[in-house]
Amino acid sequence: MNVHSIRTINLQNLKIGGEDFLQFRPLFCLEVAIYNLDENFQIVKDFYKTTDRTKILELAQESDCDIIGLKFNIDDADKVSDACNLLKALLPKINKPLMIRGVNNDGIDSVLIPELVKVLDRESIVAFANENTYNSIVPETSKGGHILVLRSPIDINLAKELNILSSDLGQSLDKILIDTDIGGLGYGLEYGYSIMEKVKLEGFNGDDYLNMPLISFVTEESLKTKEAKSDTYSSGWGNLSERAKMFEISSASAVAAAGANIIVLNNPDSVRIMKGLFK
Amino acid sequence: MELSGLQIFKYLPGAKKTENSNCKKCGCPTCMAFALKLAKHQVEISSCPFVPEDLKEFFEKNSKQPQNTVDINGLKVGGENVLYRHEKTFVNKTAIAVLIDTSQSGWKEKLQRVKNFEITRVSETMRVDLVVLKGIASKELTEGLNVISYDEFNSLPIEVIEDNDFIKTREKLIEIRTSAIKEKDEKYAKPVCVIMRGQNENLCARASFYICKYANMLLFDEFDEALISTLMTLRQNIFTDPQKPLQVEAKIYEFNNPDENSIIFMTTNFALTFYAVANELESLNVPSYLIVTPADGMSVLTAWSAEKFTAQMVARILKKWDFANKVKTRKIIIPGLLAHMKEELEEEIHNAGDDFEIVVGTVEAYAISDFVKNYVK
Repeated sequence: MNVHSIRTINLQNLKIGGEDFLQFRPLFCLEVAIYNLDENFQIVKDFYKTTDRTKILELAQESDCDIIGLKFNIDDADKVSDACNLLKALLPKINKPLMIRGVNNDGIDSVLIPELVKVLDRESIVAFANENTYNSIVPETSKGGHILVLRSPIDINLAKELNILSSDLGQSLDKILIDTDIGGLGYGLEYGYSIMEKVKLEGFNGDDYLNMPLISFVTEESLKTKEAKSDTYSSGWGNLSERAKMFEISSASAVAAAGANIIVLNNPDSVRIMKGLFK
Repeated sequence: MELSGLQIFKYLPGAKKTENSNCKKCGCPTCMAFALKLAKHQVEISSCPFVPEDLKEFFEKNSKQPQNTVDINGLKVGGENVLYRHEKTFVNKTAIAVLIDTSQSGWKEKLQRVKNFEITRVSETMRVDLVVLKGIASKELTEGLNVISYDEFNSLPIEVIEDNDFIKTREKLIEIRTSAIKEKDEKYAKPVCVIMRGQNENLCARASFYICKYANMLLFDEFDEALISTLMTLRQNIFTDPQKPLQVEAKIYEFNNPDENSIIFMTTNFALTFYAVANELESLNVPSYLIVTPADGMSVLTAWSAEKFTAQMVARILKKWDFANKVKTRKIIIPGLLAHMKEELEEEIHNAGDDFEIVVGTVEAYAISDFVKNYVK
C-alpha cells in the first residue's frame, strides 16, 4: 500500500502538516479571547493577572507557542468595526505567526470575519468557516492568500464536502485546515477523536480532499465542561484549578494521539507542558 | 485482514467448477453460500473437506487473537483486536494501577486515599483498578481493593515499559500494538503496562496519550486524585462503543433545587444533547426540571423521525411518572427543533388527562439562558 503525505502549509517559518505517519510533532497555538477578556477561562485569567491587552499579548508571546491566536469575541454585529480597530492596533505588536478567530455565531461571523481579514497585513490563519458562513468568508481569505479553518459537524463526508465547496469558491486546497469539531473531555470527545483519525487515514490513502492538516479546538470544549468549572465535585475529583488544567492537557494529548497538526491551547502553562512533551 | 465471501469463494470447488462443486457436505446448499457464511464466521472452515491448504493456513493465522488477555483477580487487561476505535470497540479499558511501597514514608495515608477514591460519571462508578503492594499491609488496610504483591506483578505475562522518555515510550507502544494487530506476531502479543514515575507536570499529558495509544495498564507510583479522575474521564470516552450512541438514563433531572413552581424543560436521552442542556440549566440561577424521555440515545430530530419521540410517548411518560401531581407549573418547554409538534403534544397530553401547555424553546442549548431571562420575566 502506498502511503501518501498530508499537504504541507508554510506559514512564515512554520511548516504545518507534510507528515506521512502518525508519530509526528504537533504545533501549538495559544489563543486569547482578546475583545472581551472576561470570557477567558478562569485558569487563563489567573495566569495573566491583568486586563491590559498589550500586556496579555506580550505574555502570551513570551510563551513557547508556535502560533498566537486572537479571538474577537464580540456579542453583536454592530461591534465589528471595534473588533477591526482592535486588530489593527495589535498587529504591529504581533511577532509570531497569527491566527484570528470569530465568535462561533454564524450571523456575526459571516460579517465579522471578512472584515477582520481585510485588516490583516500578513498571511494568517483564519478561523473558522462552516457550511453557513464559507460563502461570505472564502472570497476574502482566498483573495488575501490566507489559511482557512473549515469546521464541519463531526462527520467525515461533510468535512470533505465543505473542502470541495470552499475550493470551488476559490480557497486553495493547500490553504485549508480541517476542524472536525469535537466534544469536550468526558462529553463525547471520542466522536471527534475518531473522525480525526479517519480523516488522517484517508489523507494517508491519498484522498485529495481530506489530506489537509488538522486543527483542534478541543481544549476550549474541555474547559467549558462542568468538571472544569464547578467546585461542587466530591474530593475524589481533586482540586478545581488542578482539574481544569488537567482537563485542558488531557484533551490536548488525546487529539495529539488522533493526529491533530495544530492544537489550540488556552492556558500558557499548557503550552510549556505540551511543547516539552514533544521536544 | 479479513477475506470477503467472494474472495473465499474463489478457493472453493464451486468457483473452480471442479469435482465436489456444491457437494453440500458442509451443510450449505452451495459453495457460494458457504463462502458467505465463512466470511461472517457463521460456519467453521473445517466443515468443508475440500478447502485448499493455503486458505486453511490463512484462516489459522487470522483466527489467532492478536493480543493476549491477562486476568488479575477478575480485572481483565489486554485482548485488543484493532488499532483504531472506529474499526471495532476497544475491549478492556486501560487499567489504572497504583504502586504502594511500605518502605516509603506516608504509604498508609496514600493507601487510604486510594481506598477512598471513588468517582461516578455517566452512571459508571470508578475506583482504582489495581494496587501493587511492595511489602506487607494488613487486610484491614486493603479491604475492598484488588491487591497483588510486587512479585506477583513482576511475574504477570505483561510487557512492562518504564516511561523515561515520552517520544520513546510512544514509539514503543505504537510499534508493539501495530505488530500485534497487523502481523499477529506472538512476540508482541502480551498486554503492555507503562510505569509512570513521580509527579512530573507533564504526567497528565503522557498518561492521556498512552490511554489513547496504546497502554493496557498504567502503574503510578504517586497518587493524585485530580489526575486519576481526569484520566478516567478520558478513558470513558476512548473505550466507548463507537457503534452505540451515548445515552443517559431517562428520568426527571433537577437543577438548582426546583420546587413545584419551577420551570420545566424536556429533551431526549442522547447524551450529547443532555449534557449540553444540563450544563446550561445548571449554570442558570433559576431552579428547573429537565424531563428526559427514553429515545434509545437518539438526538431530538433523529428520535422524532424514527418515532422514538412521539406525542403519545410523551403523554404516557408524564402519566407514568405522575408528573402533573408533583408540580404546579403547567408549561413544558420543548426543543425548538420540535416546534411543529406543539399542538399534537398538547392534544395527546390532554387526552391522557393532564393539562400541560407546550412552549417552544430554543434550537440550540447555548441560547437557553437568554430564553429563560425573557421567559421568567
